[in-house]
Amino acid sequence: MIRFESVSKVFKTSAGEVTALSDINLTIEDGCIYGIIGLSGAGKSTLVRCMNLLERPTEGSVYLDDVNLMSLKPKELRLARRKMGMIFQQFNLLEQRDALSNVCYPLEIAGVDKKKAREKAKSLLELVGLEDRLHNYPAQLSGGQKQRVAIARALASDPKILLCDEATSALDPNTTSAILDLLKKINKELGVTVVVITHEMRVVEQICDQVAVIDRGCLVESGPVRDVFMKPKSTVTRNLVFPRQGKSPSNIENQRLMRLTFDGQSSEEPVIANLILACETTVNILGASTENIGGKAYGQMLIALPSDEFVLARVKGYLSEVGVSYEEVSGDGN
Amino acid sequence: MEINQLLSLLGKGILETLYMTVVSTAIAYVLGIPIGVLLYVTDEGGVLQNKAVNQVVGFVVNIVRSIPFLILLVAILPFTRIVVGTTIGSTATIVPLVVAASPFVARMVESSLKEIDLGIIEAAHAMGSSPWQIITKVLLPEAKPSLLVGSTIAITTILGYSAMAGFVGGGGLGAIATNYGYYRYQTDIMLITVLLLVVIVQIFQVVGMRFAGGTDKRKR
Repeated sequence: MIRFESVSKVFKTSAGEVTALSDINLTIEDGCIYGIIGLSGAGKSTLVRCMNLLERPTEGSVYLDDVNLMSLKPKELRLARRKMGMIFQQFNLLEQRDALSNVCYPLEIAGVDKKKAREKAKSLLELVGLEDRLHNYPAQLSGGQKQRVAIARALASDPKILLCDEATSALDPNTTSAILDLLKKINKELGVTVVVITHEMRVVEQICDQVAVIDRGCLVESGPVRDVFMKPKSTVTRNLVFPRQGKSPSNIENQRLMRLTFDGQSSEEPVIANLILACETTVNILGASTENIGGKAYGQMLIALPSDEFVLARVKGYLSEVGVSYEEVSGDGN
Repeated sequence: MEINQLLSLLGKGILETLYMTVVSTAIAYVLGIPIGVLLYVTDEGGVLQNKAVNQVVGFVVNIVRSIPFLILLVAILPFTRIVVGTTIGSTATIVPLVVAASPFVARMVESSLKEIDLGIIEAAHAMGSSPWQIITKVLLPEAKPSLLVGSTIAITTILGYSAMAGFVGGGGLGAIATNYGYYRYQTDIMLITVLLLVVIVQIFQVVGMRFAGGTDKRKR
């Protein structure tokens, strides 16, 4: 378990003081996959570095299983860090070592017998699906493979927690999905708590149980993913869940625009198709941003309807009936 | 001078030059690597950050580096006599060569270490490495190809210094060029020694670079 008690971090730069984190209180329970999401520069990376004290908070305390990391001596801190694996956006593998020796590194520094270390490293590389790449150097591996080596290396010291700092941000969408599945598997099979730092909604959606939203150094909201995304309390969260759309098409003469908001209907129910059938009207979808979170639909949709009062009345009646909230909007979509 | 005499003179010169260069470079690295590592790890953000140590060591290194080699050579003659018991010949030249080359090597080592991606060092910290483990298992192995390139540059520079030592009683090809070419106006012998120095530099360069490239695992 990781617990932050009013953690603040202020950087002193030549341009003055910069507050990266202010008064963060946070608890990450054992066994969960915890997402920390925020826009660039929000303080996510500083936050995750405070968990293993790569950055020392200027105020507050960081607890790992009720041990205050801030009070540890350097040697004790090094031992504590071995209980927390970490992976990075840029992988940070030792470039002059092959995959196997990279995974051996944490075991080497912990003084594990060389032969045992190699066997363990081999089984870890098997776990991440790289059993045929043991003797490849990082330069010979793809981004996804490098991150798999990094994951195997992070797991070598049998950590209870795996910290992932934008671990998938340098990867393409397919590789991202595969790496996220691997993290989920590690969480399930090894019981490792996973902390995921990201700016991507879909990362949180795909694997996280809990999420915290960080904005300008402050913890804006936190809780189970469904709760936070279903009823976003802050503008930042709303923007993350429903990114701003571009301008809508402008040829809307003789049409009426309507914005529909989905907040938790079954994503299997074909709302628009049913609306067309029930109201016997045409519907033109101008834009949509919907997310499927746990089998429920969240998001917004902008539709154009014929400029006919009877039809409009029928549509409004239907939407109220199925519980989709709506508002009429003016021509520019706002 | 007979051709046999000349050949044995040049042969002896080559061996002396190689002896001075290789031994000096080796000792300069034994001293220069720790100094270079010290400069790097005590620098701001280093694993053993220490501003005072960094500035003192950096200052001393800069002082020695800024003294022209010939002046240094003469200035430390008493020291040379204490160390090897004489001030002339190849072995006596090794002392000033090491004194001049160690700070140079230290800066080369420092700059090789600076090429390492800081993310790799951060990862090593995250895995719970001690500063000593970071130096021996991360910094030096990761900088190895760059260190080898640096040593190729260092050895050719030291070769050039060793030739200069010929002017004040050092041995090797530099002494031959000075004694025959300069004092006796035997331009042909001067040219031959210069040519031989060029060939030796070329060999060092090609072998060194190939070796450095061959050990670099960043190449596919």
